[in-house]
Amino acid sequence: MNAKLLISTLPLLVVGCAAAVSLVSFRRHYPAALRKLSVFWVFNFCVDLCGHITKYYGLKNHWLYNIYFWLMYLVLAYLYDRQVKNKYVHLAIRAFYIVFPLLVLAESLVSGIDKLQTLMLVAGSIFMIFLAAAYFRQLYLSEDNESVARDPWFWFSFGFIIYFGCSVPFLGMLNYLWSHYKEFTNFYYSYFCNSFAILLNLLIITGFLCQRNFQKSR
Amino acid sequence: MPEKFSEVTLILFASTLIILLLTGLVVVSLFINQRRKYRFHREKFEMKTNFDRELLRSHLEIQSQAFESISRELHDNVGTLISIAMVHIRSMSVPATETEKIGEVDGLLNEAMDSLRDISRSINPENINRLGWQKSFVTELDRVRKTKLFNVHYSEEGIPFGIEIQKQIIIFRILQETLNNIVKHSCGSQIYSHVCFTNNMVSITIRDDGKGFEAGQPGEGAGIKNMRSRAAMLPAVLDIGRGVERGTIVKLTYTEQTT
Repeated sequence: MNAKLLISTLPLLVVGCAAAVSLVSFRRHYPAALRKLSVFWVFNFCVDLCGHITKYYGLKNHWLYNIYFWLMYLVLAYLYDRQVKNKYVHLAIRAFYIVFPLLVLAESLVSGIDKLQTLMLVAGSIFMIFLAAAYFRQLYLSEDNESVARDPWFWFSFGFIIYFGCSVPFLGMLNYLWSHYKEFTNFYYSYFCNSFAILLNLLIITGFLCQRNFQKSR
Repeated sequence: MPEKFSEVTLILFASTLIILLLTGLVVVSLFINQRRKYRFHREKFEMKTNFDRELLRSHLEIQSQAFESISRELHDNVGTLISIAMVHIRSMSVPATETEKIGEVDGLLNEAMDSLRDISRSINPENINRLGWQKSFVTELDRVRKTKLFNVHYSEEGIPFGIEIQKQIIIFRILQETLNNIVKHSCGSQIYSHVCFTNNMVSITIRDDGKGFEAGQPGEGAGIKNMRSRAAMLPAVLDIGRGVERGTIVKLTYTEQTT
Protein backbone atom coordinates (compact mmCIF):
# COMPACT_ATOMS: atom_id res chain seq x y z
CA MET A 1 0.00 0.00 0.00
CA ASN A 2 1.60 3.29 -1.06
CA ALA A 3 1.52 6.49 1.00
CA LYS A 4 -1.09 8.18 -1.16
CA LEU A 5 -3.50 5.28 -0.82
CA LEU A 6 -2.89 5.16 2.92
CA ILE A 7 -3.64 8.88 3.25
CA SER A 8 -6.86 8.53 1.30
CA THR A 9 -7.88 5.39 3.21
CA LEU A 10 -7.25 6.78 6.70
CA PRO A 11 -10.44 8.92 6.76
CA LEU A 12 -12.43 5.87 5.71
CA LEU A 13 -11.04 3.95 8.68
CA VAL A 14 -11.92 6.80 11.04
CA VAL A 15 -15.44 7.02 9.57
CA GLY A 16 -15.73 3.26 10.11
CA CYS A 17 -14.62 3.64 13.74
CA ALA A 18 -17.11 6.49 14.25
CA ALA A 19 -19.91 4.39 12.75
CA ALA A 20 -18.97 1.44 14.97
CA VAL A 21 -18.73 3.60 18.11
CA SER A 22 -22.04 5.29 17.28
CA LEU A 23 -23.74 1.91 17.60
CA VAL A 24 -23.25 2.26 21.37
CA SER A 25 -26.40 4.40 21.28
CA PHE A 26 -28.46 1.26 20.65
CA ARG A 27 -27.14 -0.42 23.74
CA ARG A 28 -27.70 2.25 26.38
CA HIS A 29 -30.41 4.75 27.30
CA TYR A 30 -29.57 7.11 24.46
CA PRO A 31 -32.19 9.41 22.94
CA ALA A 32 -33.74 8.57 19.56
CA ALA A 33 -31.95 11.46 17.82
CA LEU A 34 -28.57 9.89 18.55
CA ARG A 35 -29.75 6.52 17.28
CA LYS A 36 -30.90 8.16 14.05
CA LEU A 37 -27.55 9.89 13.71
CA SER A 38 -25.86 6.57 14.34
CA VAL A 39 -27.86 4.95 11.52
CA PHE A 40 -26.90 7.84 9.26
CA TRP A 41 -23.25 7.49 10.18
CA VAL A 42 -23.29 3.81 9.26
CA PHE A 43 -24.82 4.88 5.94
CA ASN A 44 -22.07 7.51 5.69
CA PHE A 45 -19.47 4.80 6.10
CA CYS A 46 -21.12 2.64 3.41
CA VAL A 47 -21.19 5.58 0.97
CA ASP A 48 -17.56 6.39 1.71
CA LEU A 49 -16.63 2.75 1.18
CA CYS A 50 -18.44 2.72 -2.16
CA GLY A 51 -16.73 6.00 -3.05
CA HIS A 52 -13.32 4.50 -2.34
CA ILE A 53 -14.06 1.33 -4.30
CA THR A 54 -15.31 3.27 -7.33
CA LYS A 55 -12.30 5.58 -7.11
CA TYR A 56 -9.98 2.58 -6.92
CA TYR A 57 -11.47 1.22 -10.15
CA GLY A 58 -11.21 4.64 -11.77
CA LEU A 59 -14.96 5.19 -11.94
CA LYS A 60 -16.42 8.66 -11.55
CA ASN A 61 -18.35 8.84 -8.31
CA HIS A 62 -19.49 12.47 -8.06
CA TRP A 63 -23.12 11.41 -8.50
CA LEU A 64 -22.75 9.22 -5.37
CA TYR A 65 -21.45 12.10 -3.28
CA ASN A 66 -24.11 14.44 -4.71
CA ILE A 67 -26.83 12.10 -3.49
CA TYR A 68 -25.02 11.58 -0.21
CA PHE A 69 -24.76 15.32 0.48
CA TRP A 70 -28.44 15.92 -0.40
CA LEU A 71 -29.41 13.35 2.19
CA MET A 72 -26.85 14.50 4.70
CA TYR A 73 -28.05 18.10 4.77
CA LEU A 74 -31.68 17.07 5.03
CA VAL A 75 -31.02 14.51 7.77
CA LEU A 76 -28.86 16.88 9.81
CA ALA A 77 -31.46 19.64 9.46
CA TYR A 78 -34.11 17.18 10.66
CA LEU A 79 -31.98 16.17 13.68
CA TYR A 80 -31.14 19.77 14.57
CA ASP A 81 -34.84 20.58 14.40
CA ARG A 82 -35.22 18.44 17.54
CA GLN A 83 -32.16 19.84 19.29
CA VAL A 84 -32.48 23.58 18.82
CA LYS A 85 -35.39 25.05 20.73
CA ASN A 86 -35.85 28.30 18.88
CA LYS A 87 -38.89 29.06 16.75
CA TYR A 88 -36.90 31.09 14.22
CA VAL A 89 -34.49 28.22 13.72
CA HIS A 90 -37.46 25.89 13.27
CA LEU A 91 -38.85 28.27 10.66
CA ALA A 92 -35.47 28.42 8.95
CA ILE A 93 -35.37 24.60 8.84
CA ARG A 94 -38.88 24.51 7.30
CA ALA A 95 -37.72 27.02 4.69
CA PHE A 96 -34.60 24.94 4.07
CA TYR A 97 -36.77 21.86 3.45
CA ILE A 98 -38.48 23.78 0.67
CA VAL A 99 -35.61 25.79 -0.81
CA PHE A 100 -32.90 23.14 -0.71
CA PRO A 101 -34.68 20.49 -2.84
CA LEU A 102 -35.54 23.26 -5.34
CA LEU A 103 -31.89 24.27 -5.45
CA VAL A 104 -30.84 20.66 -5.93
CA LEU A 105 -33.39 20.25 -8.71
CA ALA A 106 -32.28 23.44 -10.45
CA GLU A 107 -28.61 22.55 -10.22
CA SER A 108 -29.28 19.00 -11.37
CA LEU A 109 -31.12 20.34 -14.41
CA VAL A 110 -28.45 22.91 -15.21
CA SER A 111 -25.25 20.95 -14.46
CA GLY A 112 -26.48 17.37 -14.23
CA ILE A 113 -25.65 15.04 -11.37
CA ASP A 114 -22.45 13.62 -12.84
CA LYS A 115 -20.60 16.75 -11.80
CA LEU A 116 -20.16 17.69 -8.12
CA GLN A 117 -22.89 20.20 -7.26
CA THR A 118 -20.84 22.88 -5.59
CA LEU A 119 -23.68 25.39 -5.21
CA MET A 120 -25.71 22.83 -3.30
CA LEU A 121 -22.64 21.99 -1.20
CA VAL A 122 -21.99 25.62 -0.30
CA ALA A 123 -25.65 26.34 0.50
CA GLY A 124 -26.03 23.17 2.55
CA SER A 125 -22.75 23.65 4.40
CA ILE A 126 -23.57 27.26 5.27
CA PHE A 127 -26.94 26.14 6.63
CA MET A 128 -25.28 23.42 8.70
CA ILE A 129 -22.87 26.02 10.14
CA PHE A 130 -25.89 28.18 10.95
CA LEU A 131 -27.58 25.27 12.77
CA ALA A 132 -24.43 24.36 14.69
CA ALA A 133 -23.98 28.03 15.65
CA ALA A 134 -27.62 28.17 16.76
CA TYR A 135 -26.99 25.16 18.97
CA PHE A 136 -23.91 26.85 20.45
CA ARG A 137 -26.00 29.94 21.14
CA GLN A 138 -28.57 27.76 22.89
CA LEU A 139 -25.82 26.25 25.05
CA TYR A 140 -24.48 29.71 25.80
CA LEU A 141 -27.86 30.95 27.02
CA SER A 142 -28.86 27.72 28.72
CA GLU A 143 -29.44 27.63 32.48
CA ASP A 144 -28.50 23.95 32.52
CA ASN A 145 -25.67 23.26 34.92
CA GLU A 146 -24.33 20.18 33.17
CA SER A 147 -20.96 20.57 31.50
CA VAL A 148 -21.06 21.18 27.75
CA ALA A 149 -18.31 18.59 27.44
CA ARG A 150 -20.91 15.98 28.36
CA ASP A 151 -23.31 17.08 25.67
CA PRO A 152 -22.96 14.97 22.48
CA TRP A 153 -24.50 17.66 20.31
CA PHE A 154 -21.84 20.11 21.45
CA TRP A 155 -19.16 17.81 20.03
CA PHE A 156 -21.16 17.12 16.87
CA SER A 157 -21.74 20.84 16.32
CA PHE A 158 -18.09 21.55 16.96
CA GLY A 159 -17.18 18.94 14.34
CA PHE A 160 -19.73 20.20 11.81
CA ILE A 161 -18.58 23.81 12.15
CA ILE A 162 -14.96 22.82 11.57
CA TYR A 163 -15.73 20.38 8.76
CA PHE A 164 -18.25 22.44 6.85
CA GLY A 165 -16.59 25.76 7.69
CA CYS A 166 -13.24 24.64 6.35
CA SER A 167 -14.71 22.75 3.43
CA VAL A 168 -17.00 25.49 2.13
CA PRO A 169 -14.29 27.66 0.50
CA PHE A 170 -12.69 24.59 -1.07
CA LEU A 171 -15.89 22.82 -2.13
CA GLY A 172 -17.36 26.04 -3.49
CA MET A 173 -14.42 26.40 -5.85
CA LEU A 174 -13.81 22.70 -6.40
CA ASN A 175 -14.82 22.52 -10.07
CA TYR A 176 -12.85 25.66 -10.86
CA LEU A 177 -9.82 24.45 -8.88
CA TRP A 178 -10.06 21.06 -10.52
CA SER A 179 -9.82 22.55 -13.99
CA HIS A 180 -7.12 25.13 -13.18
CA TYR A 181 -5.03 23.73 -10.31
CA LYS A 182 -5.39 19.97 -10.48
CA GLU A 183 -2.26 19.16 -8.50
CA PHE A 184 -3.01 21.67 -5.78
CA THR A 185 -6.61 20.43 -5.58
CA ASN A 186 -5.37 16.88 -5.09
CA PHE A 187 -2.89 18.05 -2.48
CA TYR A 188 -5.45 20.13 -0.58
CA TYR A 189 -8.06 17.39 -0.72
CA SER A 190 -5.65 14.66 0.42
CA TYR A 191 -4.14 16.56 3.31
CA PHE A 192 -6.60 19.24 4.40
CA CYS A 193 -10.07 17.96 3.53
CA ASN A 194 -9.20 14.51 4.80
CA SER A 195 -7.81 16.00 8.03
CA PHE A 196 -11.05 17.90 8.59
CA ALA A 197 -13.04 14.73 7.87
CA ILE A 198 -10.89 12.83 10.39
CA LEU A 199 -11.37 15.61 12.94
CA LEU A 200 -15.13 15.58 12.39
CA ASN A 201 -15.28 11.84 12.93
CA LEU A 202 -13.11 12.02 16.03
CA LEU A 203 -15.50 14.61 17.43
CA ILE A 204 -18.44 12.39 16.49
CA ILE A 205 -16.79 9.55 18.43
CA THR A 206 -16.26 11.90 21.40
CA GLY A 207 -19.91 12.92 21.23
CA PHE A 208 -21.11 9.34 21.38
CA LEU A 209 -18.76 8.50 24.23
CA CYS A 210 -19.09 11.65 26.31
CA GLN A 211 -21.08 9.72 28.94
CA ARG A 212 -23.97 12.03 29.50
CA ASN A 213 -26.48 10.52 31.91
CA PHE A 214 -29.44 10.39 29.52
CA GLN A 215 -31.52 8.42 32.00
CA LYS A 216 -31.26 11.29 34.46
CA SER A 217 -31.91 14.00 31.89
CA ARG A 218 -35.07 12.38 30.55
CA MET B 1 2.85 20.60 -4.03
CA PRO B 2 0.77 23.14 -6.05
CA GLU B 3 1.85 24.33 -9.47
CA LYS B 4 1.98 27.95 -8.33
CA PHE B 5 0.98 29.82 -5.26
CA SER B 6 -1.87 31.92 -6.56
CA GLU B 7 -4.34 34.27 -4.92
CA VAL B 8 -6.90 31.49 -4.94
CA THR B 9 -4.77 29.22 -2.79
CA LEU B 10 -4.00 32.13 -0.47
CA ILE B 11 -7.71 32.85 -0.07
CA LEU B 12 -8.36 29.18 0.57
CA PHE B 13 -5.72 28.85 3.27
CA ALA B 14 -6.59 32.19 4.86
CA SER B 15 -10.32 31.47 4.98
CA THR B 16 -9.70 28.01 6.45
CA LEU B 17 -7.40 29.48 9.08
CA ILE B 18 -9.89 32.22 9.95
CA ILE B 19 -12.73 29.70 10.27
CA LEU B 20 -10.59 27.45 12.48
CA LEU B 21 -9.63 30.39 14.70
CA LEU B 22 -13.21 31.59 14.96
CA THR B 23 -14.46 28.12 15.84
CA GLY B 24 -11.75 27.78 18.47
CA LEU B 25 -12.69 31.15 19.91
CA VAL B 26 -16.37 30.26 20.06
CA VAL B 27 -15.68 26.94 21.78
CA VAL B 28 -13.28 28.48 24.31
CA SER B 29 -15.77 31.25 25.12
CA LEU B 30 -18.46 28.60 25.55
CA PHE B 31 -16.32 26.76 28.08
CA ILE B 32 -15.46 29.98 29.92
CA ASN B 33 -19.12 30.94 30.02
CA GLN B 34 -20.02 27.48 31.29
CA ARG B 35 -17.46 27.75 34.09
CA ARG B 36 -18.76 31.18 35.06
CA LYS B 37 -22.32 29.89 35.05
CA TYR B 38 -21.34 26.92 37.20
CA ARG B 39 -19.57 29.19 39.70
CA PHE B 40 -22.62 31.46 39.85
CA HIS B 41 -24.95 28.51 40.51
CA ARG B 42 -22.64 27.18 43.20
CA GLU B 43 -22.47 30.55 44.94
CA LYS B 44 -26.26 30.86 44.76
CA PHE B 45 -26.67 27.40 46.22
CA GLU B 46 -24.19 28.13 49.02
CA MET B 47 -25.96 31.40 49.81
CA LYS B 48 -29.30 29.62 49.97
CA THR B 49 -27.88 26.88 52.19
CA ASN B 50 -26.34 29.45 54.53
CA PHE B 51 -29.57 31.41 54.62
CA ASP B 52 -31.60 28.29 55.44
CA ARG B 53 -29.11 27.33 58.12
CA GLU B 54 -29.23 30.79 59.70
CA LEU B 55 -33.01 30.75 59.57
CA LEU B 56 -33.12 27.38 61.29
CA ARG B 57 -30.55 28.50 63.84
CA SER B 58 -32.54 31.58 64.78
CA HIS B 59 -35.70 29.47 64.88
CA LEU B 60 -34.03 27.06 67.27
CA GLU B 61 -32.65 29.90 69.38
CA ILE B 62 -36.10 31.41 69.73
CA GLN B 63 -37.50 27.99 70.60
CA SER B 64 -34.71 27.44 73.10
CA GLN B 65 -35.42 30.79 74.76
CA ALA B 66 -39.13 29.97 74.85
CA PHE B 67 -38.39 26.62 76.47
CA GLU B 68 -36.14 28.28 79.00
CA SER B 69 -38.78 30.82 79.86
CA ILE B 70 -41.52 28.15 80.18
CA SER B 71 -39.20 26.04 82.32
CA ARG B 72 -38.49 28.96 84.60
CA GLU B 73 -42.16 29.84 84.85
CA LEU B 74 -43.05 26.23 85.68
CA HIS B 75 -40.38 26.02 88.32
CA ASP B 76 -40.75 29.45 89.90
CA ASN B 77 -44.45 30.08 89.54
CA VAL B 78 -46.46 26.87 89.26
CA GLY B 79 -43.92 24.95 91.36
CA THR B 80 -44.10 27.57 94.12
CA LEU B 81 -47.90 27.51 94.04
CA ILE B 82 -47.95 23.73 94.44
CA SER B 83 -45.37 23.97 97.25
CA ILE B 84 -47.50 26.56 99.06
CA ALA B 85 -50.58 24.39 98.55
CA MET B 86 -48.69 21.44 100.03
CA VAL B 87 -47.55 23.50 103.04
CA HIS B 88 -51.11 24.69 103.61
CA ILE B 89 -52.49 21.17 103.44
CA ARG B 90 -49.86 19.87 105.83
CA SER B 91 -50.58 22.70 108.31
CA MET B 92 -54.32 22.11 108.23
CA SER B 93 -55.93 20.60 111.30
CA VAL B 94 -58.27 18.07 109.83
CA PRO B 95 -60.72 15.71 111.50
CA ALA B 96 -59.61 12.09 111.68
CA THR B 97 -62.24 11.07 109.10
CA GLU B 98 -60.67 13.35 106.45
CA THR B 99 -57.02 12.45 107.12
CA GLU B 100 -56.96 9.77 104.44
CA LYS B 101 -58.34 12.10 101.75
CA ILE B 102 -55.93 14.83 102.73
CA GLY B 103 -53.08 12.33 102.55
CA GLU B 104 -54.16 11.37 99.02
CA VAL B 105 -54.30 15.04 97.99
CA ASP B 106 -50.84 15.55 99.45
CA GLY B 107 -49.58 12.52 97.50
CA LEU B 108 -51.11 13.80 94.28
CA LEU B 109 -49.56 17.21 94.79
CA ASN B 110 -46.22 15.54 95.42
CA GLU B 111 -46.57 13.59 92.19
CA ALA B 112 -47.56 16.74 90.30
CA MET B 113 -44.53 18.50 91.75
CA ASP B 114 -42.23 15.68 90.61
CA SER B 115 -43.71 15.68 87.12
CA LEU B 116 -43.45 19.42 86.96
CA ARG B 117 -39.81 19.27 87.99
CA ASP B 118 -39.08 16.60 85.38
CA ILE B 119 -40.76 18.56 82.61
CA SER B 120 -39.04 21.73 83.68
CA ARG B 121 -35.68 19.98 83.61
CA SER B 122 -36.21 18.27 80.31
CA ILE B 123 -37.15 21.40 78.44
CA ASN B 124 -34.55 23.63 80.03
CA PRO B 125 -31.55 23.94 77.68
CA GLU B 126 -29.31 24.89 80.60
CA ASN B 127 -29.96 21.49 82.07
CA ILE B 128 -28.74 19.86 78.87
CA ASN B 129 -25.68 22.12 78.95
CA ARG B 130 -24.95 20.98 82.48
CA LEU B 131 -25.63 17.27 82.10
CA GLY B 132 -24.72 16.73 78.46
CA TRP B 133 -26.97 15.18 75.81
CA GLN B 134 -26.35 11.59 76.90
CA LYS B 135 -27.32 11.99 80.56
CA SER B 136 -30.25 14.18 79.58
CA PHE B 137 -31.37 11.42 77.23
CA VAL B 138 -31.09 8.83 80.01
CA THR B 139 -33.09 11.15 82.30
CA GLU B 140 -35.69 11.46 79.57
CA LEU B 141 -35.86 7.68 79.29
CA ASP B 142 -36.36 7.52 83.07
CA ARG B 143 -39.19 9.97 82.73
CA VAL B 144 -40.84 7.71 80.14
CA ARG B 145 -40.18 4.68 82.37
CA LYS B 146 -41.94 6.44 85.25
CA THR B 147 -45.15 6.58 83.23
CA LYS B 148 -45.19 2.77 83.55
CA LEU B 149 -46.57 2.55 80.01
CA PHE B 150 -43.29 1.26 78.56
CA ASN B 151 -40.44 -1.00 79.50
CA VAL B 152 -37.41 1.06 78.61
CA HIS B 153 -34.09 -0.58 77.71
CA TYR B 154 -30.89 1.37 77.34
CA SER B 155 -27.44 0.24 76.28
CA GLU B 156 -24.29 1.94 75.10
CA GLU B 157 -20.90 1.01 73.73
CA GLY B 158 -17.71 2.83 72.78
CA ILE B 159 -15.98 5.80 74.29
CA PRO B 160 -17.98 9.04 74.30
CA PHE B 161 -16.37 12.14 72.83
CA GLY B 162 -17.05 15.83 73.30
CA ILE B 163 -19.63 17.56 71.13
CA GLU B 164 -20.27 21.27 70.86
CA ILE B 165 -23.03 22.40 73.30
CA GLN B 166 -25.35 23.77 70.60
CA LYS B 167 -25.11 20.48 68.74
CA GLN B 168 -25.76 18.52 71.93
CA ILE B 169 -29.00 20.44 72.39
CA ILE B 170 -30.04 19.63 68.82
CA ILE B 171 -29.22 15.93 69.28
CA PHE B 172 -31.17 15.83 72.51
CA ARG B 173 -34.19 17.57 70.96
CA ILE B 174 -34.28 15.00 68.14
CA LEU B 175 -34.17 12.14 70.66
CA GLN B 176 -36.75 13.83 72.85
CA GLU B 177 -39.12 14.24 69.90
CA THR B 178 -38.61 10.57 69.03
CA LEU B 179 -39.55 9.50 72.56
CA ASN B 180 -42.56 11.84 72.55
CA ASN B 181 -43.73 10.30 69.27
CA ILE B 182 -43.36 6.80 70.68
CA VAL B 183 -45.31 7.70 73.81
CA LYS B 184 -48.03 9.47 71.85
CA HIS B 185 -48.48 7.30 68.76
CA SER B 186 -46.75 3.93 68.92
CA CYS B 187 -49.24 1.99 71.11
CA GLY B 188 -46.33 -0.27 72.03
CA SER B 189 -44.92 -1.47 75.31
CA GLN B 190 -41.16 -1.69 74.76
CA ILE B 191 -38.53 0.93 73.95
CA TYR B 192 -35.00 -0.15 73.07
CA SER B 193 -32.34 2.49 72.81
CA HIS B 194 -28.72 1.95 71.93
CA VAL B 195 -25.92 4.50 71.76
CA CYS B 196 -22.78 3.53 69.90
CA PHE B 197 -19.59 5.59 69.75
CA THR B 198 -16.99 4.69 67.14
CA ASN B 199 -14.00 6.99 66.61
CA ASN B 200 -15.60 10.37 65.92
CA MET B 201 -19.05 9.02 65.12
CA VAL B 202 -22.04 8.41 67.34
CA SER B 203 -25.11 6.53 66.28
CA ILE B 204 -28.23 6.47 68.42
CA THR B 205 -30.91 3.90 67.66
CA ILE B 206 -34.34 4.01 69.24
CA ARG B 207 -36.73 1.18 68.48
CA ASP B 208 -40.23 0.42 69.69
CA ASP B 209 -42.62 -2.49 69.25
CA GLY B 210 -45.67 -0.41 68.41
CA LYS B 211 -47.87 -0.23 65.33
CA GLY B 212 -45.11 1.19 63.16
CA PHE B 213 -44.79 4.24 61.04
CA GLU B 214 -43.94 4.76 57.38
CA ALA B 215 -41.59 7.72 56.97
CA GLY B 216 -41.80 10.01 53.95
CA GLN B 217 -45.59 9.65 53.63
CA PRO B 218 -47.58 12.77 52.70
CA GLY B 219 -49.08 12.98 56.16
CA GLU B 220 -45.71 13.31 57.87
CA GLY B 221 -46.20 15.60 60.86
CA ALA B 222 -44.44 18.77 61.88
CA GLY B 223 -42.51 16.88 64.57
CA ILE B 224 -40.81 14.60 62.04
CA LYS B 225 -40.10 17.56 59.76
CA ASN B 226 -38.50 19.39 62.68
CA MET B 227 -36.40 16.32 63.44
CA ARG B 228 -35.20 16.22 59.84
CA SER B 229 -34.44 19.95 59.80
CA ARG B 230 -32.49 19.63 63.02
CA ALA B 231 -30.56 16.63 61.70
CA ALA B 232 -29.73 18.60 58.54
CA MET B 233 -28.48 21.44 60.67
CA LEU B 234 -25.95 19.31 62.57
CA PRO B 235 -25.42 17.85 59.89
CA ALA B 236 -26.37 14.26 60.76
CA VAL B 237 -28.09 11.36 59.06
CA LEU B 238 -31.56 10.58 60.32
CA ASP B 239 -33.19 7.33 59.22
CA ILE B 240 -36.78 6.60 60.15
CA GLY B 241 -38.17 3.26 59.09
CA ARG B 242 -40.28 0.29 59.98
CA GLY B 243 -38.94 -2.34 62.35
CA VAL B 244 -38.15 -5.83 61.10
CA GLU B 245 -41.36 -7.32 62.47
CA ARG B 246 -43.23 -4.34 63.86
CA GLY B 247 -42.69 -0.93 65.37
CA THR B 248 -40.44 1.87 64.20
CA ILE B 249 -36.68 2.34 64.18
CA VAL B 250 -35.19 5.79 64.37
CA LYS B 251 -31.46 6.02 63.81
CA LEU B 252 -29.47 9.21 64.18
CA THR B 253 -25.86 9.15 63.05
CA TYR B 254 -23.67 12.11 63.74
CA THR B 255 -20.02 12.43 62.77
CA GLU B 256 -17.94 15.01 64.57
CA GLN B 257 -15.90 16.99 62.06
CA THR B 258 -12.23 16.93 62.96
CA THR B 259 -10.44 20.17 62.11
